[in-house]
Amino acid sequence: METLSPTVKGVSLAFQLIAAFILGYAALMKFSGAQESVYVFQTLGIEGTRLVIAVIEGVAAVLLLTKMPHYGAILGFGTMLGALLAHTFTLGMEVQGDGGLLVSLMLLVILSTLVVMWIHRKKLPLIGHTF
Amino acid sequence: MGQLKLSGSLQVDLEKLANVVNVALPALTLLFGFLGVRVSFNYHFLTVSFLLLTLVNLYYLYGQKKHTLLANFGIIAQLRYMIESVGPEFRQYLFMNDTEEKPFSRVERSEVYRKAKGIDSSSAFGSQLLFDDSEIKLRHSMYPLSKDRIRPYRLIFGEERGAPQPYTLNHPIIISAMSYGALGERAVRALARGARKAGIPMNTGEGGYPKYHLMEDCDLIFQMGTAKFGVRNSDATLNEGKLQEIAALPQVRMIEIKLSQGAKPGKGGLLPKEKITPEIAELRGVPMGQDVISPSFHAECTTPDATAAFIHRVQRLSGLPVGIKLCLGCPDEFRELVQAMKRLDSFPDYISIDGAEGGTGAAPKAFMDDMGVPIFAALPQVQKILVEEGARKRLKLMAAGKLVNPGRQFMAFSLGADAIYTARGFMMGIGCIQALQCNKNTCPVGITTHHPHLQHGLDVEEKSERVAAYVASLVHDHQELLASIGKTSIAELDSSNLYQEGAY
Repeated sequence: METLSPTVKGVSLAFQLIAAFILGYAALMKFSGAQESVYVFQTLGIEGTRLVIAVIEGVAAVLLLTKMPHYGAILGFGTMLGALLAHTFTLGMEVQGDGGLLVSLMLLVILSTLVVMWIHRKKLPLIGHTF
Repeated sequence: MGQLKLSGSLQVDLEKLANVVNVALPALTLLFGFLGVRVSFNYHFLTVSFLLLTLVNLYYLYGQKKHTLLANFGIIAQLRYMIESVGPEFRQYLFMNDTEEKPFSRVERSEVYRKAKGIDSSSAFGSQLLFDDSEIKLRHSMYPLSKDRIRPYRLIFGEERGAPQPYTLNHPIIISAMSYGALGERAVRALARGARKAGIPMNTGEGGYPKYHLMEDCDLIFQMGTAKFGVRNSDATLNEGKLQEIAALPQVRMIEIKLSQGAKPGKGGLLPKEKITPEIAELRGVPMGQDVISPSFHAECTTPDATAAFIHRVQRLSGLPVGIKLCLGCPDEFRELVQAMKRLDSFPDYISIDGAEGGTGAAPKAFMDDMGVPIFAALPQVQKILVEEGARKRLKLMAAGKLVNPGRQFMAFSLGADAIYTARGFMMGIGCIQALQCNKNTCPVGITTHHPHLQHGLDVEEKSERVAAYVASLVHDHQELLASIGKTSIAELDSSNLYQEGAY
C-alpha cells in the first residue's frame, strides 16, 4: 500500500472537501425540491430522475469524506459529465440568470474530482494497477 | 489470445472480438449521446458510463505501457485477468484432483478436518495414493498386539542432565511455532486453549513476548529466533534479564533456540516498518518507524563451540529444558556441532529437525522450494550422526515438516523422532482451507489475518475443541498403528518398521 506524504494528503483533503461540499449541497437542493433544481430537471424533461441524481450526488459526497475518496471522486466526476452534457446541449452556460454560477461549480467539482482521482490513482478500479 | 474452436466453422476469434469491442465502445457512446439529446436525457446515464469505459479503453491501448495484453487488445483483455484471478478458487473447488493440490492434497486435508471434527475417518474402495516402489510404507506384524498392551506415552525433557525443572510430554504431538503476528489474536488463542484441553504444549514462535499465548494457560515452549524478539538487546544479542523474566512465567516450560527453519533455512526474516504497530513493537522489543531485519544466524552462534556454549548459557539462565530447532543442511556441519557439544559437555535437551517442506507465513520462493534437506532424508542422517557420536541418549529428537497425519508421523517416529511438531496440521484443525494467503493479511478463515471482520468467524471456544479432537484422534490412530506393528510404545519403533524399495 502506497503511503502519501502529509502535503499530498492535505491537498487531497482540501479538494475532497470542496467536491463533497458542492455535491452535498446540490443533493440537498434536489432532495428539498428547490425551485432551481426543479427548473433544471423540468427543462431537461426528466423531472422523475431528479431524486436519483440527488442520491448519486449524496453518495459521492459521503464517499469523498471516507477512506475511499477515489470512489466518491469517480461517482462525482461521472455525474458532472452528465451535467456537462446538460449544459452543452440544453441548459446553456447561464441558468435563470445565475451568471454562470452552476457551470462554474460544475467545473470546480470536475477539477477537484480529477485531482483526487490523480492523487489516489493507484487505487482506482480498472486502471490503478497500471500506475 | 488465441482461437477458441468450438466446431468446424463455428469459432470465437478473440482478436476479432477485441477489435469489435474497441470500435463498439466509442460508437455506443456517440449513439447514447445522440439518444440523450434527441429522445430522453436519461440516455446520458449510458452516455457517461460508456464515455468512461471508452476513456479507460483508450488509456489501455495508447496510454499505459505496463501490460502488453491491455495495450494490444484493450479492455476485453481484462477478462483474462478477471477469470485468472478466481482461478485458484475454481481449481480447488472443481478441477483439482483429490491428490494433486499442494502443499496438502484434499485427501490429506480431509483427514485432518475429519479428525478435528471427531468424524469417522474411514474411507472406501481403496487408497487414493500411489503404490509404487518410491513410496514409504509401514510394515505391520503378522501378530498384532491387543491395544491394552500399548504403554502410555511419556517423554521427559531435561532428564538426561538433571535439569532443575524437567518437562513431561504426555502425547507425542506439539503445536509448532506460530507467533502472534504471523497469526491473528483469535487463532493464537484458539490453538492455545485447544493445547490446554488436549494436554499438549504449544510453541510461541519467534514473535516476542507471548501475550496472547499466555492468556489460555497452556504449557508453552518459548521460541527465540535469530532476532531474539522479546529477549533482545538492540544489537540482537541476548538480554539475560528479559530471558529470565520470560522463563519465570509459570506457563513457559521450555525454551527453543531457532537456528534455522525448513521453509527458509539460512535466511532471517524482515519485519517491515509498516507492520510494526505499537503493540508489536512492545511485544517484540523493537523500535517503531524502521525495518527490523532478523539476522540469518544468532549473534552468539558463530562457531560450533560458541553455539554449544550459548545453549548451555540459556539452560543456566532459564533453569528450563532448552532445545534447538534447525533444518539440516550439511551433515558434516551438524556432526561438528554435536562434537562441540560433546567437547563442552553441553547438550541441548532436544533437537528439533525441521524438514525443508516446512511451512511459513512468508519466505522467498527459492528458499521455500529448493533450500534445505526434506524431513525423511534429514532424520535418518541426524539419527545416525547422533548415534555415532554417542549423543543420542543425551537428548530428545523431534521432527517437523508436513507431519499432519498419523501415517507420516509414524514414519518420522520410525526414523528416530521422539515427538512430532506440526503447525499446519493444527491450522487445518481450526479451519485453514489452504487459501495460500498467509502473507497477505487476507486469510479468509481469520487465521493469519489481523482484520477484525475476517477473524469474526473464528470462534475461539469452538475451534479449541477441534484442536483437542484432532489430538485425541491422532493419539487413537497412533495406538491402532502401534498394535498392528506389534510394538508397545513409540520409542520401540525403528527403521525396520518401514518399507521402501532399496532404502530400508
